[in-house]
Amino acid sequence: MKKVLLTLIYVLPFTLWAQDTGAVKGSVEDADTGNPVEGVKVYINNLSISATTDAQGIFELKDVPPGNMNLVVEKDGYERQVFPIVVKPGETLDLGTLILWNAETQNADLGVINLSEQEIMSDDNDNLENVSGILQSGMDAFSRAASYQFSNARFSMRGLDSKYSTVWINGVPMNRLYDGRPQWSSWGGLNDVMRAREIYPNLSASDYDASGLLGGVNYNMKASDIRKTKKISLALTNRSYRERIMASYASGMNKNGWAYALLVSGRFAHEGYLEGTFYDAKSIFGAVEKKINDRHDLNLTFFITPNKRGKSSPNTMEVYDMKGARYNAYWGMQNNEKRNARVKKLNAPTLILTHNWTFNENTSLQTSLAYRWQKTANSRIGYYNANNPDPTYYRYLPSYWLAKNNLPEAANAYLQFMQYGQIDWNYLYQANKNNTADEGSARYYLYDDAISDENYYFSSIFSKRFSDALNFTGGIHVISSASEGFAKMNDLLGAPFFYDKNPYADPGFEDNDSNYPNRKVKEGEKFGYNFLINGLKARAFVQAQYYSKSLDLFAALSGGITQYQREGLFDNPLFEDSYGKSPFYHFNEYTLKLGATFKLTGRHLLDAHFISQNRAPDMKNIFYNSRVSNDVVENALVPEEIRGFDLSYIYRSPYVKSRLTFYVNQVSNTVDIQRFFAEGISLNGVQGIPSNINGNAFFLTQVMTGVSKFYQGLEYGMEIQLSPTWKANLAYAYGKHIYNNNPDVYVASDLFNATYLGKTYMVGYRLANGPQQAASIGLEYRSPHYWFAGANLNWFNNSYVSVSPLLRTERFYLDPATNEPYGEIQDYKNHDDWDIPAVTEDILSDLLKQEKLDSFVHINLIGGKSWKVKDYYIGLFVLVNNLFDNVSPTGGFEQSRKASYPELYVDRKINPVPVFGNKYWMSYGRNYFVMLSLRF
Amino acid sequence: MKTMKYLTKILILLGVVSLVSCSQKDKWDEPDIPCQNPSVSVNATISDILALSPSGDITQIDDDLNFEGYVISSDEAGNFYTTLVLQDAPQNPTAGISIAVDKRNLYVDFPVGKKVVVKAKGLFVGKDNGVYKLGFTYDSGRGTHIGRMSASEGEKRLFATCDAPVKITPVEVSLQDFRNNSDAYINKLIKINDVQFRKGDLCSTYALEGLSGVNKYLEDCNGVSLVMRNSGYADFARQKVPSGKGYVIAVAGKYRSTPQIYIRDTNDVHFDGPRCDGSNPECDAASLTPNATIADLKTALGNNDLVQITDDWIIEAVVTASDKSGNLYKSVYIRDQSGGIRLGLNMRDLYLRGYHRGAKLRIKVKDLYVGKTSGGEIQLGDLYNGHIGRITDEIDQDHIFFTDETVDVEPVALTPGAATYDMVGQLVRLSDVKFSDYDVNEYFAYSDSQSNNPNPRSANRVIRACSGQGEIIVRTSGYSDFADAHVRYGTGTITGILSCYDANHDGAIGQDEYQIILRDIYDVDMTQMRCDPPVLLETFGLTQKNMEIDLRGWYNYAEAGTRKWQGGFYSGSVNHYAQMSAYRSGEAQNIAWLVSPGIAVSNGMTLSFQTAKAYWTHDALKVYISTDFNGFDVRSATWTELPARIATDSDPNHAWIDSGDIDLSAYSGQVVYIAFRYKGSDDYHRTGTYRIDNVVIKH
Repeated sequence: MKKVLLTLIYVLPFTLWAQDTGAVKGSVEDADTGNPVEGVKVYINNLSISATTDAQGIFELKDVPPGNMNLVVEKDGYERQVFPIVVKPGETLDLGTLILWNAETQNADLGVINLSEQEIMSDDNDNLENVSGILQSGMDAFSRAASYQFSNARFSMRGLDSKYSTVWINGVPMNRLYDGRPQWSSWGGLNDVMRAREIYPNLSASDYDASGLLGGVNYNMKASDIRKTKKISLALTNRSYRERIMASYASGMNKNGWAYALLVSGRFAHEGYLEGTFYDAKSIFGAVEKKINDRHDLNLTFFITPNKRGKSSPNTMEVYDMKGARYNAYWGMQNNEKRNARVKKLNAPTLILTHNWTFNENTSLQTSLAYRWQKTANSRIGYYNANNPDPTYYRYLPSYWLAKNNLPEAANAYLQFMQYGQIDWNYLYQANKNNTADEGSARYYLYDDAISDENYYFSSIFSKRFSDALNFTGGIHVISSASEGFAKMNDLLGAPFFYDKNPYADPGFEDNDSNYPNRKVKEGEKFGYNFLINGLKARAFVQAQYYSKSLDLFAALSGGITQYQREGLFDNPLFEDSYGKSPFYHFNEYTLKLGATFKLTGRHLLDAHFISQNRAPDMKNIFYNSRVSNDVVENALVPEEIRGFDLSYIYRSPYVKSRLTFYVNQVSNTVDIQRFFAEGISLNGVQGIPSNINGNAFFLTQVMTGVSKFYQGLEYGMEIQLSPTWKANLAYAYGKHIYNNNPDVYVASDLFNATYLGKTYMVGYRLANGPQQAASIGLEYRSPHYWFAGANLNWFNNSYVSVSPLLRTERFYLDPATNEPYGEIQDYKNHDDWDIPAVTEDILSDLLKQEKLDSFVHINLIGGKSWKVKDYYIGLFVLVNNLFDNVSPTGGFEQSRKASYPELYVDRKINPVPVFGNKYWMSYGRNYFVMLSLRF
Repeated sequence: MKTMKYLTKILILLGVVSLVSCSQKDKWDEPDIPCQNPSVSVNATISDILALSPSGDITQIDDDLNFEGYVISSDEAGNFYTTLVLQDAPQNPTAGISIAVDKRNLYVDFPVGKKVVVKAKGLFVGKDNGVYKLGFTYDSGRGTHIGRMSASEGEKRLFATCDAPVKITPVEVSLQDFRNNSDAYINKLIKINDVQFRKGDLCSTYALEGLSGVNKYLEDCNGVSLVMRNSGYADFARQKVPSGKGYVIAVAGKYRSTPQIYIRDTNDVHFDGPRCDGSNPECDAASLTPNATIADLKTALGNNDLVQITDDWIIEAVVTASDKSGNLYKSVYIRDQSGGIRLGLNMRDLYLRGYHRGAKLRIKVKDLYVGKTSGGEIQLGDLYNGHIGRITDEIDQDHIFFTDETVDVEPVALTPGAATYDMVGQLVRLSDVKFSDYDVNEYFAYSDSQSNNPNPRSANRVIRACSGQGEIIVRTSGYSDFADAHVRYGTGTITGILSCYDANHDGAIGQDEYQIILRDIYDVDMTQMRCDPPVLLETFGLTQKNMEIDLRGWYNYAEAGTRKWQGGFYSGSVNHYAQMSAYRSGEAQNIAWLVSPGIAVSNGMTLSFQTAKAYWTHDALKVYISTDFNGFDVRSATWTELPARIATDSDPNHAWIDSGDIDLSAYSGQVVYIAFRYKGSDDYHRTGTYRIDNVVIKH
C-alpha cells in the first residue's frame, strides 16, 4: 500500500481548475494492527461535509469547496487527528492511508502499572489508594495527565478516596462492601481484555447507576466486546514487577453466533524497585458468548487472578537517611534468599453470567448474575513475650540512644543497623528452638490476617431511547456478602505449635477463644480472632437524559438500603460482646444527580453538575473493633452526607481542546478508625472509663466520627495540535482539600469499650491525599512512520502528611491532674535537660503544625514504534519515568505514640533526632517500562 | 513468516516458563542453623569473679576472664526484669551471680538451665544492696552502683552454649536456716519446705499493678518470716496468693540486710496442704453476708468519742473517694445506703491496692473502732494512742474483703448552707453554685511543684449558691495533684465528699465548719456562665510571681523608670496580687501605672478593691478614674483621683485594707478606666511596697 507523508501536503503545489468543487479520499488504518478501521467519522471542520469509513476503512468526501481547510478524523477509542489540506476545484485529493493511534493501547498499560505501585505501598493503616485517576484515563487532556503523569506521585482526583468511584464489570458493581473501594488487583493483568469500557467521569450521567463523586467506569468483558485478535506481549520494567508476559485470543462473533476470548498473563519480580518486594501475579481470563437470536444474547465471563507480593514499609527520615530510599524493613535473609514478612495475597475468582435482551433497537435489558469469592491475606510476624523483630523498632535505632545522650550506644546502633538492619529470620527460628517455656510454644510466628468474602450479585439495567432527544435508563443492583475475618497460622518458624493466648491479658483472660482454652495452634489453623460480617446492599435507580441543540440535561435518582450484622465466632474473654450475633444495622441511601450542558456554540460549552447523596458507612467502619467485639459507636452509625457541584468551561477547536473546571465537594459524617499505641495520655476523669484504670500507655482504637471534609479546586487541561505530528499538552490542578469541622473522638482498648474523649480540633488541616497542586507540560510527536515519542515535565506541590487526631484533642495539652494546660515542667521525668515550657497557643501551633512535603519535579519520557511483518504486527513501547532520579517523599503520616504535650515536646524539640518522627513513603527514582508485543 | 512463527513460539515458551518458574514459594524451609558454641575459652569460675571483690566493693575486671554458669532466673513472667541470674552448677552450686543487661525477654535466649559463657573483662563486679552483681557502673546520685550493660554490650559478652538446657536442682533449705545464713544462698535457686503466706497477706494479690514491687511475707510454722518480693509488672501481679502450706522454689537474694526470695512465676509456689494451724482461712467476700450498715456504726458510737465494735457485723460499702489524686492521705471514703464514713488505712497508694473509686467491699467490723477525729469527723479505723486511728496493713486483710465489682457512685444533692452532720462522709453534689469572687483564678492549694516548694499548703476556697446566701468551704490539700489548678470562674456543679472540721473546738459542727473534699479536678464542672457576675473582677490569680503583669485588657505602663507592676504571691494564704515597689530599682524615679480595661458604667455601680503596704516609706499609691483614656497614652488622659481608703503607715504591714465601696454613678453612661498609680524613687528612699488585690466593679 502506498503511503503519503502527510506533512508534505502543506507544500503540495496547486493549480486552479475549472470545476467549482473538489473531492478528498483516503483510507484509515489502525496504527497498532494495520487493520482498516471502519466507522471513522471524517469531516471538514466548519463545513457540513462528512463521511464515514467503510469496512475497508475507505472514505470519500465530495463537493468540497476549494481552499485551505482542516480535515478531522475521529473515532471513539482513537486519538483524534486533524490534517490541514488544500482542496483544488475539480481535483480529487488522495490522502492515501491515514493512521489512527489507539488512545488506550499504551495508556492502559501505563495506568495499570501505576495501579500496582499504589497497591504495593499501601498498608492497612493508610489511606493512599489514590487510583481514581485511572478511571478517567482517555477522557481529556486533564484526565489523561492525572492518570499517566500525576498518579506516580499519589495525586488523587479532586482529593477523593477511590471509594467514591464505581467499577462495573458487565454492569455489575465490583466495589467491595468492606471499604467501598474497587479492588484493582483482583482484575490485574487482564489489560488486553479490558479495553472496551465506558467512562463516566466525576458527576456526569452514567448508564449503570447514580454513581458518586468520582463517577465510574464499566468494563465490557463479554466475549464479543473484546476485539478480535491474537496477541502476545512481553514487558520488562524495574517497578513493582520486573517482567510481564501476556497472551490473549479473542475470536470475535463467528457465523454461528459464538464468541470466545481467552487471556493468560503473569507478572513477576524476584525483587521489585524496593528491596525485598517480590511480585507474583497470574491472571487467567475466559469468556464465551452465544448470540441466541437477534434479541437474546448470553455471555459467561470468568477470571481468576491469584497474586501475592511483598510489601514495603513506610519509614522515618532517620531510617531513609541511613539506608536510602529503597529501604524496606519487612524482609530478612533466610537460606540466602530475601524473605518478606509482609506478604499480601489476593485471589478473587469471579464468574459473571450476563443476559442481553434487545427488545428493539431502542430498548434493551441487560441482566447479570455474578459470584465472587475473594480471599485476601496480609502476613506479619507475631511475637509472644519476646522482643519486637522489626529492625526499625525505635529501641534499635540511633535516635533512641541520642535521646538518652548515650553517644557510644547511638554509634553502636548505627553500625548494627547499617550492617544488617533487616529481619533476622535465623534468630526467630533459633529463639523458637531455644524456647523451653510453655512446652515450646512459638515465641515468633508468621500469621495471616485474612478476610474471606463470598459475594453474590444481581444487576439488571433497562434502557430505552424514546427519541433522539430523550433517553431513559433504570435498574437494580443487589449484593449479598458474607465476610469472614480471621488470623491464620502461616508458619510456626520451627516451633511445634502456638498457644492461642494474648500475652497482655490477665490470668484467666488469656485465651483468645475461651471456648477452647489452652488450644495449640498448628500451621494452617485459624486462631486469634474469627468473625463473620454479613452485608446486604440493594439499590434501584432511574435516569433520564434529554438532548437538544443548545442544551443537554440529565437527572438521576437512586435509593437503596444497606445492612450489616457481625457474628463473633471466638469468645474473647476480654470483651463482653465478642461472641454471637450483633443486631442488624440498617442504613438508607439515596443519590440525586443533576446535570446540564449549555452549548453556547459548537466550540464553547458550559457544563454543570450537582450531586446530593447519602451513602451508608463502609463495613469496616461499623464495628470499630470487628475482630473481637460486636460493639459499635452510635454516632458512627449514620450515612455519609455528600454534596457536590462542578462547573466546567469547555473549548474545542480543531487545534485546541481545553477544559477548565471548578469543583466544590462536601463530605460529612464520615468515620475514621485507627489503632496505635499511645503514651503519656491520661484518661483520668473521662466519663465512662472505669476509675480503676491506671497508667498512661494504652493500645488504643481511635474512632473519629462526624468527620467533615471539604474539597474545592480547579482543574485545567489543554491539548494543542501544533501540526498533524506535533501535539502539546498542559494540565494544572489546584485543590484545597481540608477538614472543615472538629470531629468527635472515641477511644477503646482491651480494658474499656469506645468512650467519648472529646472533640479533635481538625478545622483547616489539609487532607493527606497526595499533592493538592500539580502541573504537567508535555510535547508529543507522532510520526506517520508508525512511531511516536513524547516528554512531560511534571511538578507537584502541596502534599501534606496525615495528622494524628488524638494529638489535636484537649487531652493532648491538658495536664490530667489539674485539667488545665500543662504549666512549665522542669526536669521532666528527672532528666536534667528536659525543661518544658508552659503550653501556649504559639508553642502548640508550632508543635502541631502539619508537615508540608517539599515540592518536586519529575520528567517522564515515552515512545513507541510498530512494524508490520507479513500478517504480524510488532509493537514496541518504552517509558522512562522520573528521568533525573529525583527521589522525595510523596506521602506520610504522624505517629500517634507520643500522645501528650510533654512527651511530644521532648521528642520534637529536645531529642536531637525524633524517636517517633513522621513516617514517609518515597517516590520511585528513575524507572522504566518496556513492552514488546506481537499481534497476528 | 517462518521467523515470526519461531518468535511466537519463543514468546509462548517464555510465558509458560515464567508462569511456572517465577512463582514465589509459599513454604520456606527451616533454615539450617548449626549451633556454634562460643569461641571463648572458659578460664574462671563464678567464685573467681566474686573473689575479685571480697568485701563487695565495686571492682572492674581487668583480666581476660571468661566464666560459665547455668541460668536460674526467668523474665518471662516479668518478675525478673533485665536481670539474668547464673549459678555455677546445675546442682549443689557453690556460687551464683546476678548479671544486669538492658534487654527484655532474656529468657528467649537464655532459658532456665541453659549453660552460658560470660566474657567478664571490662565489667564491674561488686555488691549492690547486698547482692553480688555484674554489670557497668552508674551514679544514682547517692553513690555508685552496678547497673545494666546495654543490650549490645550483652550481645558481645553473654553467649548461650549449644547444650540443651539442663534441669536445675534447687538447694533445699529451711526457712530458719536461710534466714540465719542467707549469704550462702544468694543468687542460687533454693527450695524451702513447709512454708505458708503470713495471715496478713492472705487473699491479697502477689503484687500491685502500677507499683514496682511489694513485699509478701512467708512464714514457717514457728512464725519466722521471710520476704518474697514481687514485681508489679509480673503478669501474676493481680493473682491472689494461695492460702495453704507447702514448698516454694525461688532465687535467693537480699535487699540491704533483709534476705528476700524471688519466684520466676507462680509454678514455683506449691502451697497445696493445710496451713500450720490446720485452718482454712476465709478470704472470699462472697462468703460474708452483710448484716449491718454504716448508720449502725454511727449509732454504736452515739455521743461517745470512741467505741470498739463488738458485734459480729459485716457491712457492705462502696468506695466513693480514693487517694488517687493525693487529696486524701491514708484514707478513703466509703458509703452504703445508710450513709458515708471515712475509712482510715495506714497505707499509701490505696487506689492501687483495690480501694479505687467504685470498688465494692465487705468489712468485718468486729474488733475495729469507730471514733471522732480531732476535726470532729467520724472514722472507721483502729486504736491509736487512745484515739481513733488507721487500720494497719497487717490487720486490714483480716477485716476488709474486696468483691470483684466496681459500681458507679452517684452523689446525693446538697445545697450550700444545708449540710447536716448525718451527711458527713457522704458523696455530695452541689448544683448551680460558683466560687466566691475573691477565689476566682486562685490556686486550689499550694503544691510542692510550685518553685520546688518543700512545704505544700492546704487552702480553703468558698463556694456559694447562685440563689440564696448559703456557702461552703472547699478544702484542698497541697499534696493533691490538682493543687495548681485555678479556681474556675463559671457556674456549675461541685462534687465531693462532705467533711467537717471543728475549727472552734466546741464539739459541735457549725454550718461554717463543713467542707467539701474534691476527689479530683473533674469534680469541678464550672462550664456555664457565672451567675450574677461582677462587671469587673480581677484577683490577679493568673499572674506569675515577680513577673510583669500582662493581663488581658489591663495596661501596665512605666511612666518614669522601667519598673512595672508585677505579680505577687503569698503562700501563707495561697493568694495572688499585684505589687509595685521602687526598692532597688536603681532609678531616680518610678511611676508605674496599672490601668483597668474600659468599663461602661451604669447607675449604681460601685468599685472596690484591697490594698496592702509593706516597708512603708510614703503613701505611694493613688487611684484615679478617667473617661478619656485612649488605652495607651496615660499622660494625655484626664485623671480624677478616687476617694478610696488605701493602706497607709498606720495599718499593719501586709494587711489587706478594703477600699470601701466607691460609687461610680457620676460616670453613668460613660466608659471609665481605673488607674492604680505608684510613685516612688530608689535614689531618695521612697521605696515602700504597695499591693493591690481583688478589684471588683459591680452593681
